[in-house]
This record gives sequence, structure tokens and C-alpha cells, in this order.
Amino acid sequence: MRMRTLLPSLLLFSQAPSLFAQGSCTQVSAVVYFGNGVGSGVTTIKSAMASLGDLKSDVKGSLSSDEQRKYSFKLAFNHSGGKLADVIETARQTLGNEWPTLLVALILRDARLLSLVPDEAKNGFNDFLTNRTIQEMVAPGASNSDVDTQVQSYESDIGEGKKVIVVAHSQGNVFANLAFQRLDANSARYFAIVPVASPESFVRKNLVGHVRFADDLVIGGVELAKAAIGLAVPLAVNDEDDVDADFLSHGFSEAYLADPSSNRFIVQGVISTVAGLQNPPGGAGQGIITVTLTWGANPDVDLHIYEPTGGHVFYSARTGAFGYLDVDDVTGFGPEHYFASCESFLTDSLAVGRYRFGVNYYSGSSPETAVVTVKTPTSEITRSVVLSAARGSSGDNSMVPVADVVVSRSAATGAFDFSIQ
Amino acid sequence: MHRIKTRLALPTAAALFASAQIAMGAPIRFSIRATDAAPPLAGTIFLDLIDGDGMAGSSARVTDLSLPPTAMDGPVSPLLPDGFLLTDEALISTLAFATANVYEGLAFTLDAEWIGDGAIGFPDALVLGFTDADGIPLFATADPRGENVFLILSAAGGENYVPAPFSLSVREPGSEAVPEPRSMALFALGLGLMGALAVRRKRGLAVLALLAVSAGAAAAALNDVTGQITLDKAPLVYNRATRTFHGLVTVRNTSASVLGAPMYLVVSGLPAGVSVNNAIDLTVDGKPMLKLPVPQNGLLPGGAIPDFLVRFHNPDKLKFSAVFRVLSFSGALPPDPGEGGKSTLAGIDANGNGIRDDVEIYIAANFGHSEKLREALNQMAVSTQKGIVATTVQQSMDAANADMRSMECLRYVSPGSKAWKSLEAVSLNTPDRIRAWEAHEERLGGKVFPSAENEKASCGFDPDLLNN
Repeated sequence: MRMRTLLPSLLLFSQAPSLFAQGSCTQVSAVVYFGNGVGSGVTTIKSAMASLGDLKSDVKGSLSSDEQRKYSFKLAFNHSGGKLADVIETARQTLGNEWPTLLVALILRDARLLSLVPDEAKNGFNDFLTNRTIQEMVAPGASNSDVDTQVQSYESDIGEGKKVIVVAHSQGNVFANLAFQRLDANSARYFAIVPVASPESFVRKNLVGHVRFADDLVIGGVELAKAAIGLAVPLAVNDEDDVDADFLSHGFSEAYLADPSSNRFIVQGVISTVAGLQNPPGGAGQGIITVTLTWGANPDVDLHIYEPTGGHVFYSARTGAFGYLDVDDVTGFGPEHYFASCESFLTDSLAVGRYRFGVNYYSGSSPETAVVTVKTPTSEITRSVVLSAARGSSGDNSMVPVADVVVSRSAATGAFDFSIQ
Repeated sequence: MHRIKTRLALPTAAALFASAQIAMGAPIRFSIRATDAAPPLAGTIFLDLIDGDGMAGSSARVTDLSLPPTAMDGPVSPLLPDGFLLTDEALISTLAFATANVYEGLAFTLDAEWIGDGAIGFPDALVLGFTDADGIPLFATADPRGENVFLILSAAGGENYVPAPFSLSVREPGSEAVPEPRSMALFALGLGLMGALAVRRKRGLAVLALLAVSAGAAAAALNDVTGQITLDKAPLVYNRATRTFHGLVTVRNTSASVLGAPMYLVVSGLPAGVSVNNAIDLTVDGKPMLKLPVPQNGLLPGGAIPDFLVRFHNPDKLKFSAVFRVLSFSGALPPDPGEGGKSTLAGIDANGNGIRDDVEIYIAANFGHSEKLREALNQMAVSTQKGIVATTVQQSMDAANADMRSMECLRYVSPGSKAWKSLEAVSLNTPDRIRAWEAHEERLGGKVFPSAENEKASCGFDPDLLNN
């Protein structure tokens, strides 16, 4: 892969992020992803968000303020392919008239609402949910294709000079291992996993070891189930839950972050992994909005950008009013990369508004799939577009639209809002 | 605690009650049987003495039984020359009569002694019911608890729900039985007389406590109005199938003011192991609250909420003494949509502020003590609802990013708060909403969500301007 010349003058990143409520102008050197376990297969995402928030809080609490600014945090959300029907039927039979609410409270382990549920109902249902979680991990129903979007994000971050660390909990380890296998060889050098309560027997890339409680009932159950059917058993026990706030000793926040020794492993594991990974060369710039385009083996798919003031940024006009096409590729696979600079947003009120991103299949001999990852400080999306035939320069002014980012700024707080459409 | 040795709220007894002194201490003969011939039906007749106030001292002497008991449970002791003494040393003491034909009924003479006046907990009572071998009632009755018992006898008054084809006769031992239908009429009259004696109706503690005060003029606040109401309590009965105890509470507004809706009955005084069945609201200090069925314009002076059912889950049959308070809203809240709010995914948002009304009320009732927390949860209610009604990846992504901001905002206003869990559980309060959420999360599988650096900026309001 040959990259056209980088624009060196564009690599001047502001270190004056205080004007930005989102702090997005800081040069980030590491992105810590939390890869959640799928639990009981329902109502997982806010637990995952809460776990990410707890992880972020604890890691930042161990860093100096200068170091804190070099980290950013994201959720790589994993969803179970499990079905709800059996859970719902059990809840309907055992939890009374308010069963939908109490079912969610049981799955989320909401101590507040569960104070209203008799112990015998709680215990019976907890056993049911635990068994279901174990079964899910022994024979997962989730689609592996979900991982591809996460891989795009990892590669995009690495391309922008950021190390990627995935703190994977429970079944999140399955997805993290799979993601590593799908990373391109170059990106894989700057990627590592911190495994927590892994049901897997291995970790694909790891610098610091793992943590598993002796009394983790879920992984213990997975071990028994896997051994019974001749599968390799999970990574070994190496710690104990001394807090016992979680009767399963399995929850990420409730058990593994709550226990002091495990917390230390996770937090220091992240920091040590960041220290241990090499710095990615960072061919692409960091900005407040970034777009990464990749595709297959055909020679050239081009990224096109229309900025809010109407400027068209593409291979023959790589410098826009607010951003830059800093990586352009004509030899297949990509990436191509655009970033809207922080400086523009700091200094130019015209930088707010609508950014339109699209692609043109410039040259190639077969149908091609373009994959575009759009990142802002508060949202991120990866979309695929199938392109049937190359159009050469005739397509330069009629790009296939992929995504818009609408930027607005609060007059009251100065905070920017980013909406990917 | 003074002792009331009483004749019960029964026809002849009640008449005697009216003449006071002879009401006390005299046994009464009860007879329940089917008047019409019916094919034999096997079942079990239960006589339960159920403690309602958590104290000991009430007893029932049951003699001259038409059937021998086939089982007994709890503090029951034989009497000489015949009969049994049931006491409230435990929560429930039982005489069970398994019979090949329940239509033959049961006759017995009762001499009961009740302590207390029902002000604490529920009145102690003797309850008679007919069930099958699994504890399921054999006959539907008019029992407002839905438990289909036949008779409830207590110091608070008798409750007679004996259904056709059975008839009840009540008399003093040795006297002529009062025949149907006159006994029923007298029974009703007896209840009225008992009501006049005002044993059952007891006023709650006259404590006015402000639980939540909001600085915003239009914001709703939840106030303790126990001093402005009376609470009448009718005895507990036991459901053998669900192992729950069911009592009735009647709330009457005795003040000159309208008590604003929604209103809640707060239940406290419960030991570990006893819970209120099916409550989903909690006070700040974790006491269960039951939403009272109040008209949208509030409970008018003199108005009453009759026979509100309170169910206790108590599998270990622990004695308990429930304490009640009543809370009422002041200020602006949308009307409670009730079951109507569950019929669609979108629910009802009558005040058009973007927050589902049932969730808005829940947040105000459960977390209204903190303006910051309430506003953060209101923001989350909106983002959660976006996820519930989402049908496309774009809508689910927008909702999830909004939820990330809501979670960050909550972390800013209340670090460590787990209130999002209760909010999500209450938001997903129907099967359709749970399924919609499942589809929403499925659309989010594999997606990436960045965490914003500035949690305060994730609030759609300025939390630092709020009072608490």
C-alpha cells in the first residue's frame, strides 16, 4: 500500500483544549475500550455504559491530569444473540403482576427495586439467569459479524496514532479475541486485551495477564460445562473476591472493580499495557471529526467531503476550510482519511454546520465495498456501501453519500453537539 | 393494651352488642351449610386465627364442632371436654377440616377474645374459607380482597361473604337459629352497628412531615398527609396458594383541603422476610409505597379510597405490625395514565414534555427529593424512551448516544448512583417494551460509543443551578 504524501503542516494539534467542552482537541495517545459481556442477553447496554464509566473513573483516578488527557474511553458494545422467550415465560410465572419491571430489575440486579422482591423469588430467578448466562457462553448465539464494526474503529484509532486497549469482561473476551484476528497485521501491533473473567482458554494479545475470581460462579459454571463436552477450559483462577457485593462474583463493576486486588490489576493493567505498546506511527491526524475510508483490493475508492461553507475536499483539493484529506490511497484497501481540525473549531464560527461525507469508486474492475468510519467526540458510526462499478473522475462531483455530521454549538455553554446522520 | 372481650359483628351478637353489657363474653354458634342438594364435593374448610397487630393476646375458643379437624397448625391446643383454643402467639393458627363433601358445611361455637382496637397493624381475626387440596378456593365470594373467603370475624366487625348455595345461621348456643334470609339481614345490620362503635376505624398518627421540597414553584413535591386522613384497616386473610397475606385499607380525607394526586400508601414496620407484594415505588429511605387509586383532581375533603388491597409476602409466617403513612403530591404533575399508559410503546405524555407520564410520576415520587437527580433522570427517561420506540439503526444509535450522555450526566450529579437501574426497569414495564428494547439492543450489537470527556456538559440542563 502506497500512501500519497501526508500534509506535515497539518500535524499541529492544539494543546489548548479548555475551550472545548468535550476536550477533544487533546492529542490522544491511547483509547481504552470496554468490551462488555452479554449477561442474560437483554437490557445490557446501560450496564455496559455504567461499567465503562466506572472503568474510566478508576483509570483516570490513577493518572496525573496531564496523562488523563492522553486517554479516551469508548464502549465496544456486544449483544447476545440469545432469545428472550424463555426468560419472559419464567418471569411471567414467578414475579407477579409487575413482572416486566421486576424482570429487568433482576437482570440489572437493582438492589433498590429488588428490596421489594421476596428472597425465594429472587433466588430462583437468579439461578435461572445464571444458568442461562453460562449456556450463552458455552454456545454463544451472537453474530460474529458484529465484531467487524469494532475492528474498523480500532484500526481507525490506530491509524490516527492511538494505541488501542480492550478491557474485555466475560463474553466480551470472545469478541475481543475475534477482533484481534481480524485486525490488519500492522494495526495488531498496537492493540492488546486486558481480560477480566474470560470464558476463553486463551487471549490473543495481552501484556499483563488476566484476572479471574475463584468464586466467580459464572466462569466456574462455564468451566464445568466446557470440560464436560471436551472444550478447553477458561483462563485459570488467580484471585478471590474479597468484597462479596455480587453473589455471583462475576459482575465487572459489582465484583471485579469492587475488589481491591482485582481493581488494581485492571487499572494498572490498562496503564501498563499503554506503556508497553509501541506508539503507532499515526499516519492520519486527530481531529474533532474524523472519517476513515477502507475498501477491498481494487485500486482506488475516493473519500469526498463537503464542508459547511460548501467547500469540496477530495484527492485534488485536499485542504478544506476546516479540515484536511490527510491520507489518500490509490493502491487498494485504503485507508483514506479526513479530519476537521480542532483549530478550525476554536477560531472559526463557520466551522459549525453540516459536513457531508461520501465516496466515489474511482478505479477498479469488480464491484467494491467501501467501509466508512465517522468519529466525533460523542458519537461514532461505521457504514458499508456497495459500489457496483468504477466511475473514474466522472463521479467526482456526484459522490455516493454515506453520512452527514451536523455540528452545533450551545450559546449558553459553548459545548459542541455532534449528530451523525 | 386494653383487652376487648367481645361478641362479634354477627346478627344476634350485634344486636346484643347494641345493648352493651351482654355482648361481652357470650359464645356464639355458627352454622354454614348448603341448603340445596348438590353432588358431593371434596375439599378442606379452614379456620385461621390470623394476627394482624404483631402482638399476642387474642384467642378463639372453638367448641362443639360438627366435624372433627383433620389437621392443625400453629398455636392450637385442645380444650376439655371438647374443642380447641387458637391463639395469636404466632402469625397464624389453623384448624383444617378435610371432608368428602364440603356442602355439609361446618358448625361451631366460638368464644373469642380480642386485644387491641386495630390502631396498630391490622385487626386480629378468625377467617373461614373453603379450598381444594391445593389451597385454591372452591367457591367465588364477594370478598373484596379477591381471596374468596366466607367469613371474617374480628373486633373490627364481621365480614360475611357466604355465597349461594350455602347459608349462614348465627345464634347464641341453646337458642333458636336465626334462619336465612333474616340472618343475613341481621348480619348486615350488625356490621352497621359495629361501624357505629367505631372499633375498626382508627386514625393514623397526626404527623405532618415534608418529605421533599422543591424550589421550583411548579415542581411537584411529595408530602406526608397522614395527619389529614383516617385509615381504616380490615383484617388479613391468608392465600395458601401464593402464601401471601391480604388486608384492606380505607383512606378518608378528613381535612378541609383537596389532597393532590398521585397519593401513596407507605408501608413500614416490616421485619426482614416480610415484603409488600408488587410495590414498585420506594421512599427515599427505602420503604415500599403503593399507589392509591385517586381521582385525577385529587381526593376531595370527605372523600375516601375504599378497601385498598395490601398484599404481604411472608413465607416464613413472621408476625409483623405494619405501619402506614399516606403521601400526596402538591404541584404540577401529569395525570397518572394507569393501565392506559401501558397499551402502546409510546405510552402517554399528556403534558407534552417528552417524558412518558408514568415514568415522570415515578421519578418525582421516588427521586424527587433531589432536583439534580430528578432532572438527570428525566433526561434519561427521554433517551430511554427513544430506544424503546426506535425502529432503525439510526434511531437506535441516536438513542444510545443520548443514553450515554444521560449516564454521564447522572454520574456528574450523583456519582455512584444506581438510580438508572430502577428507571430502566420502570421504563420497560410491559412485555412489548421489553421486546422493543431487545430489538433496540440488537441493532446496537458491535457498535462503538465514545465517552464524553466533560460529564457536566452531558447534562441537557445546568445542574449547578439546581438547589440540591
